[in-house]
Amino acid sequence: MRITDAMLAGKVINSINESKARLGELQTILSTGKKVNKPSDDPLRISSMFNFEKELEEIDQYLKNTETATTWIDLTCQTLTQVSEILNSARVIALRESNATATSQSRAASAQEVRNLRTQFLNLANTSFGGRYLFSGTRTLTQPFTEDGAYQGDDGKIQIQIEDRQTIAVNAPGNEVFQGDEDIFAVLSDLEVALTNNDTQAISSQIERIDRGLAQIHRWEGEFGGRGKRVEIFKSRLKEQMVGLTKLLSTIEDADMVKIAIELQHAGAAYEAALYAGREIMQYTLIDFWK
Amino acid sequence: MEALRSLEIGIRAVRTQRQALHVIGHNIANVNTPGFSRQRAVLATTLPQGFMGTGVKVESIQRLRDEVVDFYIREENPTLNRWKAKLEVLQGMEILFNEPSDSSIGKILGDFWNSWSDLANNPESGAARANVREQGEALCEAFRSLYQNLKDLQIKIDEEIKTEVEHLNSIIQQIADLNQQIEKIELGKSSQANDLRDKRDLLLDELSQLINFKYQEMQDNTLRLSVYGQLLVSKATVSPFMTEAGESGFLEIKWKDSGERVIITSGRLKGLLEMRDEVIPGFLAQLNELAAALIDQVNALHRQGIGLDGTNKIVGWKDFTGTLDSDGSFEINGVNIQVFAGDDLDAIVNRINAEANNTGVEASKEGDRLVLQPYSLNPQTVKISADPDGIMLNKLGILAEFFQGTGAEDIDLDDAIKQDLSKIAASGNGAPGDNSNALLIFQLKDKPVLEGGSSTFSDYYSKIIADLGVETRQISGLKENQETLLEQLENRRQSICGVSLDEETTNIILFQQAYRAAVYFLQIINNMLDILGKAMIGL
Repeated sequence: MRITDAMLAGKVINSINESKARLGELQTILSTGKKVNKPSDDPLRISSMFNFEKELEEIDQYLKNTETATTWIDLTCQTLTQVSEILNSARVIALRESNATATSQSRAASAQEVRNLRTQFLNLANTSFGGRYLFSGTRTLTQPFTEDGAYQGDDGKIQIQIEDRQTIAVNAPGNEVFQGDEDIFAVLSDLEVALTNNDTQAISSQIERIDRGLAQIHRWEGEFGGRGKRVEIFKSRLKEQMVGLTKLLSTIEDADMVKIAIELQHAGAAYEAALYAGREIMQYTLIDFWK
Repeated sequence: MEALRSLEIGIRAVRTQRQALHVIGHNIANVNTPGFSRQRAVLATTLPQGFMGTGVKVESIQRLRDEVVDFYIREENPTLNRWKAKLEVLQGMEILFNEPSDSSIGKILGDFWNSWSDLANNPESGAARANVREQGEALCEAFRSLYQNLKDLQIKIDEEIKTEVEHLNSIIQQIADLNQQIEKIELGKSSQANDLRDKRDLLLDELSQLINFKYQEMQDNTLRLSVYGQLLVSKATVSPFMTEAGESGFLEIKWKDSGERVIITSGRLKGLLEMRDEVIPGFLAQLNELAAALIDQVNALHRQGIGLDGTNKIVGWKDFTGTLDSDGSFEINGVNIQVFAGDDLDAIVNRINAEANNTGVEASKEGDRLVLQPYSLNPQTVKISADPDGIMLNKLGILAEFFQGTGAEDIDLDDAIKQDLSKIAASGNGAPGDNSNALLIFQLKDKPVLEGGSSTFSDYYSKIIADLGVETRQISGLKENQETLLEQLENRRQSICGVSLDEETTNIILFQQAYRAAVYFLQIINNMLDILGKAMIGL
């Protein structure tokens, strides 16, 4: 085949361009750290990248949601524990003052104590967090209990989504918690009245009601403890999924830097070779040897 | 006079070698001229006299050219340029879609769903509501700007088509002009108008980038060109193309004479037309489908929900001035209320209040806004349910849609949401802490609502991206294959018609030496004649 100067020049330019293009590609991969930088780099891979990234984002969101759920549940548990402490104190008072040794004076003092307990209890039942009342059902902006223990909330449940098809209720309506089997407001009020009236019979009859109230609070504590555990289980599962998916996504989209570095070296060598070949080929013509 | 005859041979030899050198000079001068084919002086002996030769002459200047290779190149070139044009546009589209990246629709869509989940965690929070609005706005913006950018790309292609048609017209006019010149020069001669033919060949190559055509050299050395059976160039006459706005609003390529559409099956023009009329509209339609489904699905759920202002008192989110432009109905606490075209706000208030005993709801005006509130204690709430598509209540400012618009081109947040964050309907029952509706909207992300209920929003979007990737990759592969083929053909052509400086240099030496020998020969003959002359004078 007859080779002309234009053909040689064209070849030199082509091979320089080709090796430069490859260098450019590798440079993009190195600077982004990703194998796939546009859809046509690998159309199949980009679909699975898409799905994994979407799932990762969702897991991120669900983890955030579990934090919210945990906050609600923990706060509720703490409040319930404090309520049961109040009930225990009330029980101690009731036991002490139902005793024959109790005097009307000591009962009057205890009545004051119980009134304080009731106020503390009211405050706990009206616990709010970030402007939202814990025990109002979904009427979270309305204080759930008035001074006389009337419930102003609703029975709505606040559901938090913690997985694709999994929500968990993070609240319990105050009327069910504090006024279910036993109305704690009433118990404490009745105890106070009995103490004030120095009515031994009435005082001792409150003990049973206090125990029922305690059982009720314990039941809810158990319920929320269980929900808390469930959230924790979901949380750790989500974290595991996240680690797994991140790894998977990495194998799909992340470039093998060592391999790319080596390829870059090769591409660099190819580029140099193209330049060298160009110099050798383009420099001379027949005339150079005839002088 | 043998000697004079020898003198003549010598002179002819000197002239011929010089002419041959001239041709070499022309070759060297044009080594880098596009489309130039090397030429060769064809030497032949002159007419002998008896047994005696009479020397040499340049019989013709030949252009070295392989017409078969030319033909193949012009057959394959349109295909290459069709793929090239498509690839250019597709690569532009890849940049517009900007995938994978943090600012792509795919990412923003995910953020949008998550903002609903955040709202579900905190339905009373103004910040969470503002975030939903922000993400919603970003999503609308992303849809609109991608759609507009693709539209702009279409318009750019349209402009390019116009330019290319003008280019084509200029090429065929030049071919027709060259036809005329070549015919005149070559008429009755055995030689060819080499340089003009080179020019004409180059124009054919250029034309074959734009469109596929058939060509044929006629008896009179002119070229006859046709496109899909219709004459494009014949001798010195051309049938040019023209562009005219078609029904789609884009330019159509037509024959200027007949006004009929040109059937184009390959070449750059075909590639551009395909992108403008098929590929880009396909992606636009898919984007529209996605945006429309998003609008429908989110709005359908949003309509069922209740905003932060709850059910005790609903104040319209916009002024309603003027009158209704159509009849309609809606329900308040389960009671149907009919309104009619031409009703103004007062009329509507009256119609609602006419049913007050049944609905328990009283309507009033606050400025130009409609207000609904319970007038008796039972029921204490205002529960509105929409006419089938919620349009009427939206017009009155009572019902807030989340999105407005019909597709990717005009998707936007509803004015209600833009003006009043509390209109974002996170609640299902009206209680501020209720998040059931926000959860439902968040869960839309996993609902297969597109393609007849087989793909979710992100499935559908990722399919669009994969389609773009596949198409780009496929065209890129086709282009590369075609490029290799044309490279080989071009090499073959170059191998025949290209100038090799080494070859020309060698030929210089050859003719230089022949020239030198011929001059020497002339000197000798001259000397001989001298001797003869002197001898004759001496006589």
